[in-house]
Amino acid sequence: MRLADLLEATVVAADGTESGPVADVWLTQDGPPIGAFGAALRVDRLVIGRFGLASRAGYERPNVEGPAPISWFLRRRTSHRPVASWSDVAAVQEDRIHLRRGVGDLDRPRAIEQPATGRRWSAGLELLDRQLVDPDGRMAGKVDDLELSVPDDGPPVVTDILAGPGALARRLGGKPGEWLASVHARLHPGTGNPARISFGVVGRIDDHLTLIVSREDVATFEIEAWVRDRVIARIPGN
Amino acid sequence: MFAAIFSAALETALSAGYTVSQFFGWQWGKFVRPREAARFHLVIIGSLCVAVLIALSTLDPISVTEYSIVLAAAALPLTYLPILIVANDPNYMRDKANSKFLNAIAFAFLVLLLLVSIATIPLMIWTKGGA
Repeated sequence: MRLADLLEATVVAADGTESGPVADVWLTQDGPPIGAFGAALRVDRLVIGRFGLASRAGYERPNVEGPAPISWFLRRRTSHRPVASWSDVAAVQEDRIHLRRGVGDLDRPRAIEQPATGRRWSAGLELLDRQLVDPDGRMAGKVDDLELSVPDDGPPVVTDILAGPGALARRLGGKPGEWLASVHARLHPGTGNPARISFGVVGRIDDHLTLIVSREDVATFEIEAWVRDRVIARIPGN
Repeated sequence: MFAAIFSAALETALSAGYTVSQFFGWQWGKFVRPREAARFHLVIIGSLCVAVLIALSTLDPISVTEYSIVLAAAALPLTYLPILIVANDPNYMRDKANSKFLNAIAFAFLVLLLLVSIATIPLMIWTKGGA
């Protein structure tokens, strides 16, 4: 399962009413160990609402305040949305998530609440579209989607970063998405799968993700290497 | 004249490279060797080729410049607002995040930009592009 699948899914309450799409997924770092990253990120909470521009401005975090009029306007759209815990989830179907409870019973926090131990991340805000940087400070692509593995019991765990047009296409959707997917499929005959980077090579997450391996050793470098060798290297003075 | 045209050509070509590379997360930068930032330089080469084709068409370069400056003014709040929001985000800015005083000035400037942006296209039509 991909994060984009979760973000597009519709939440259905216990009484069968559709409560709206998943606006955001909050992740906590307490899954099984994965490489250098330590404990893996696992799905902890689902925020119900729309993932729009207001969600991307970052006012869901309690320490982002100003300027007051903008903060007031955008926070009205993102705070006090119903938040379901993964233990409230009864079943996950292709594009529907069934809850055990009614939406009225769910918490409606004002901002992302940090747990007593560890750190909680907003996947939509703090992981998606963030820059991947290698140990030498070179850019290695963006976090275009996340691959989740779903164990039989317990919440989904983040295993890989999906990057490049193959992953971005599904999130763009519509005609541009189709076009990007077909470009990617032509460049990658056969599988058409997006470039995949194990979350085990992520060293640190702050305003970007720092990898512990060189950008030349991850899958997003394939086309960069092709352009370098076939085009740029043939131009004198490069 | 030569300096103005030459620097504008450089700036626009680099800007196309920055926009595309930063969107996709590719390596970019004018201090990075071409082979270290291959796709960034490929975008620059591509945008130069497109620019040459436009220059070779019979479009009047002065009116292209006038219209693009008007449209750039109309789009100003769209670039200013995200920067203002990020300038308030301590997760990016650490201790350099905007103070209340700075925000008051910055917000007043946003209102001014909004007025400019709303007025600019009607003014262009009303004055017939300043003619």
